This record gives sequence, C-alpha cells and structure tokens, in this order.
Amino acid sequence: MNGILVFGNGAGGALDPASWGLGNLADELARKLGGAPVAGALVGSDVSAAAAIWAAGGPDRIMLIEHPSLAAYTSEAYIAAAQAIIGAVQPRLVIFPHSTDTSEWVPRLAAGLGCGLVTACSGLSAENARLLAVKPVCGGCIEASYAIEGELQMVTFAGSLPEGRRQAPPGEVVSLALPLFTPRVEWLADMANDADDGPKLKDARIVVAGGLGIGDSGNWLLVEAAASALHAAVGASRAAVEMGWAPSARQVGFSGAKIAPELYVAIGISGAQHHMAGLARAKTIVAINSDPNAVIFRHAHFGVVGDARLVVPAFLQRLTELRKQG
Amino acid sequence: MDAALINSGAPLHIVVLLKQVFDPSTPPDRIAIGADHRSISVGAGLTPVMNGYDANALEEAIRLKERHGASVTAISLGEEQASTVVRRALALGADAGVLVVAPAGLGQGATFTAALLSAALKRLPKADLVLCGRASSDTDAGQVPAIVAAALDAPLILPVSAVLSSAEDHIVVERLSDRGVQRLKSAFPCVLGVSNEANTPRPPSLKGVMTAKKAPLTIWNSADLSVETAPAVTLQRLSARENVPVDIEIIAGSPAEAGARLAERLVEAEFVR
Repeated sequence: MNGILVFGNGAGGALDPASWGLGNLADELARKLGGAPVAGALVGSDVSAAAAIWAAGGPDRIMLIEHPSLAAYTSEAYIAAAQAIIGAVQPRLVIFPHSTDTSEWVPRLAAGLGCGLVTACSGLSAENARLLAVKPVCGGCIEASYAIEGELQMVTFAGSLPEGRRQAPPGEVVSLALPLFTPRVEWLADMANDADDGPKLKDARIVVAGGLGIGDSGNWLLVEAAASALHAAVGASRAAVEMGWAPSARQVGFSGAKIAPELYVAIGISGAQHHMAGLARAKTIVAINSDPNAVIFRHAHFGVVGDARLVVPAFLQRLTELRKQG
Repeated sequence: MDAALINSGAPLHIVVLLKQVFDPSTPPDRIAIGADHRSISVGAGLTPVMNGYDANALEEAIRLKERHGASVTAISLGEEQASTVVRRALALGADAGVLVVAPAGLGQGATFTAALLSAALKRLPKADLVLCGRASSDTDAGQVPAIVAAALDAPLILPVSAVLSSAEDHIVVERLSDRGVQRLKSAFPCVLGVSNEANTPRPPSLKGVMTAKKAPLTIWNSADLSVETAPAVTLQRLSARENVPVDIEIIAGSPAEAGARLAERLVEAEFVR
C-alpha cells in the first residue's frame, strides 16, 4: 500500500532510455519514504522486450500490459490499462513521464480516480512522509511547491533524471490483461510529424534555436543552415513562432518543449524566463545576440555579441574549413 | 449530414470555459510574491487578459456556431473583474455569459475550480461540447479540463490542433501526439482542450463590444453552486526562481571573427565534430 509505481515507455524491442532515470527517481524517493517498494509499468502493443530490458537493471517488478489495440495511443485504452495496473500494485505514488500524451490521459485518469496530481513537476521530495512536488509557474519565473494529499498520489515529471542502472538480480515481469472498456473516442489515423526529418527536438543532442533577433522570415534560413551543419534539431522562441517563422511544434519553453540537449545554440533569443524554463536541463548554452545586455548572456557558457546575420555565416564557413582539415 | 436531416431539433450547445490570467508577457520583475507566499500580484497598470489557449477555444466555438448554428455559452470563474472575459466572449458572438464568482488565484486547487465549473455546467442546458484551452499560462497545469470531463463522464481530447468537422452527434478533430498528429472522432458530449495551432482568434467588432457591454450576465457564486470538495493538492509556497550565475566566455572580435572563433571553440570543446 505504500509503494511507488513508475511508468516507463518502450516499443519495438527498445526501452525509452528515460525509463531508467524515472526508475532511479522512484528509487531515491522510496529510500526517503523508508524503503517503499518500486514497481515499473509498461503499456503498449509491443513492449515485452522492453520490459525484459528494464527488469534487468531497473525496478524489482515490471507490470506489463501488451495488447494489439494499444498500437496507436488512445487515452481511453491507456487509462483502462493504467487503472488495472494501479489496482494490482496499490501504490501510494505513481510517477509518469511528462509528454503530450501523458498531459492528456494522466489528468483524466487522476480525475476519474479523484486523486491528487501535479503535472510537469521538476522536483520531488518527501517531508515527514508527505510528498512535495515543485514545478515552474507564471512563465517560469516562479517555482511553486505543492503537497499532494490522499492515499493515491500522481505526478508527471519533466525534471532532470538521475542516471545509471541498478546492479541487482533481474526483476520479475508480471503480465496483466487489458480490461474491457467501451471507447467513446474513435481513433481514425496517426500521421507522423511533417516531412522535416531532422533530429527530434525532444531528444536531440544539439539544438539550434532562433528568436526575434533573427530579424525576418528570410533570415530564418540561417537558423536552419546552422542546425543542418551541426546535425541539430531546430528550435524557436515563442516570439519566433508567433511571427510564423517556425511551427509551434518547434517552440522551446514554458509552454513549448522542455529539452535537455548537450548543446543549445540560441540565435537572436533574448532569454525571457518563459523561454529559459524550457532549458533548465540544457548542459551548455551558446548565445549569439546583438544586444550585450540580453538576459540570455546570464545563462550562456559561450557568448558572441554581434548581429546573427554576420556571425552565423562566418561560423558556418569556419566550421566547414575545420571539418575539411579534420 | 444525415444525422442533421433526421434530427434537426435543438442546435448544438457549446460551452466555453474561459480563464482570466495576468498577461504572460508581463516582465518577471513586475510579478511580486505576496506575503502569504501563496499568491502573486502584478504591477499597477497591467491589465489581465483571456488565457491565450482559451481564446483559441472561443474562436473554435464561434466558428462552429457560424457553420452549424450552435448556441454558445461562455463561463468564467474568478473575481468580479473576470466578467471582462465573459463580455469579450459575448462581443465575439457567444449567446450567453456566466460568471462564477470565486477566488481564482494560484492557491486555488484545480479540484475546487473544476467542481464549481462542473456544477455551473450542470445548471445550464446540457452541453454537447465543452471547449477550453489546453492549459492556462499561469499554472500550466492542464487539469481543469480533465476534472470537468470526469464530472460530466465525458471523454477528453487535448491538445486539439484542428477541428475538422462536426455533425449532430460527433466531432472529428486533430490532436497533437508524442509522435505527430492523430485524427480522432468523438461522440458527444466531450471536452476538448484547444491549442494555439487550431486558429487565430479574431478581434471583436466595435458593434459587438457595444452590445456586449449592456448584455446581461448570469452570476453565480460558490454558495449558489454548493459544491464540497477536499483539495487533492495544496499549494505550500511560491518562491522566485534563482538563476544560478554561469561563467560565460565572451568571444570577442568583429561579428565575422567571433563567428569563426566560435566554430573553433565548439570543435575544441568537442561539441562538434
């Protein structure tokens, strides 16, 4: 009755690497809560291989629901599956990764069960056996700390995750059946993201993003050229999205993607709080901006004060030369 | 279309849930945390606005009304000043406006807010479709749509990036997903959390604004709606986020020199190969 259940992700024989971190997060919290047991959960049409991988270095017990009808994500099927797993495990806390899909089905699941939920939280702690979740609010300039009440508590987690795999005997995989449910939403089709086949923003190692300082839509090509040269995903500030220079799926920030690249190159981005809220997990930030007082320079590790229209072409030319030499 | 011919009775009833928020473009230094550490105040002269995604939800409701002759009710929950977002909805074409007078600060849990909104919904003619924004820009929680959906025993689709078509008894929408976009068809009633991809909200006309000024609003308070909920989540404390100062290496020189030098530094630091 006191354990932690953590939802991972997997498909086609692979485990989403974030699952390891989510398991570690649950382990850390379990220790603070006096050694509560940790179970993992995987839901999908092709997740048994992922469950075996996770069990080998993760939670002691992996709950699995595998069913062909889970091939395309639909909230009602995921809710039915999660309810079955929660019923079997009877956890005190359920941790979900924060994503577009979990932002739909997890609040609806929590509402149906009448339990407390904090979405997109960046940190979790236990205080006298009470669970506290923190998350950025108000565009990222304020951090709110919430206590979650009740016997069943939930969070979707968007913070940084502890790395590593556990050295322990492999855990067991427990398979459950998908309960019957009557869907009221009919799935018609899934369409993969637009033809742009660059790296995905969410898990790109390098992201090159542009903001208002780019000047106009014609200059946006500089951002795309720099991203292409660095094999990077393209990102954008909210202002650039509002100008129509980039689709909203490219928006980085509080109300856009929260990303964790090794390298983030911000071109013509001033560094407003709501943008930086998407970059809390970026390791190294490069800022190119003509305004020496731009806030972005307070967050950046490398800075160039100058007009992006002159800086970026010189950067790309030198990069090409260095690669020829190398 | 067939369904419309068979049953051309009452038009679709759409209810739009609107939240008034502080302007998200407010500079952080104008936002002050209250002495209770559970509330904020923004500097004088900054007018609160309709939550951006809610404006997209309202626009979608107006478009459905234009296409199908639906009736649209706009509800907002907040202090008296939240009546401005209800009047804005009326100015844009909503047929009726409801203000639920209740505190709507950051310390109010989604459970209580959603319970009041659900109680208000149940007092109105049955809603076929409830439209709201995918989340609000102040708390970024996205929980009210889900709790309202649960109270109505209705499915929730979110974030909706396009409304494709609608008929007497169902609606077809596109939804952003982890992998791309999905196309879904939902029976009524359902709750949709609309995202900014769906549309560009129109500005109200002067005539609409003048008419809306005099339009009667239905005003309910929490006693009228008599809901009892235990908070599922309680706000403990708000704190300003401290920015950990970073040691920055400023690359000097003319823009062209600095650009070239930046390439060298990133290669040296082995970020780029």
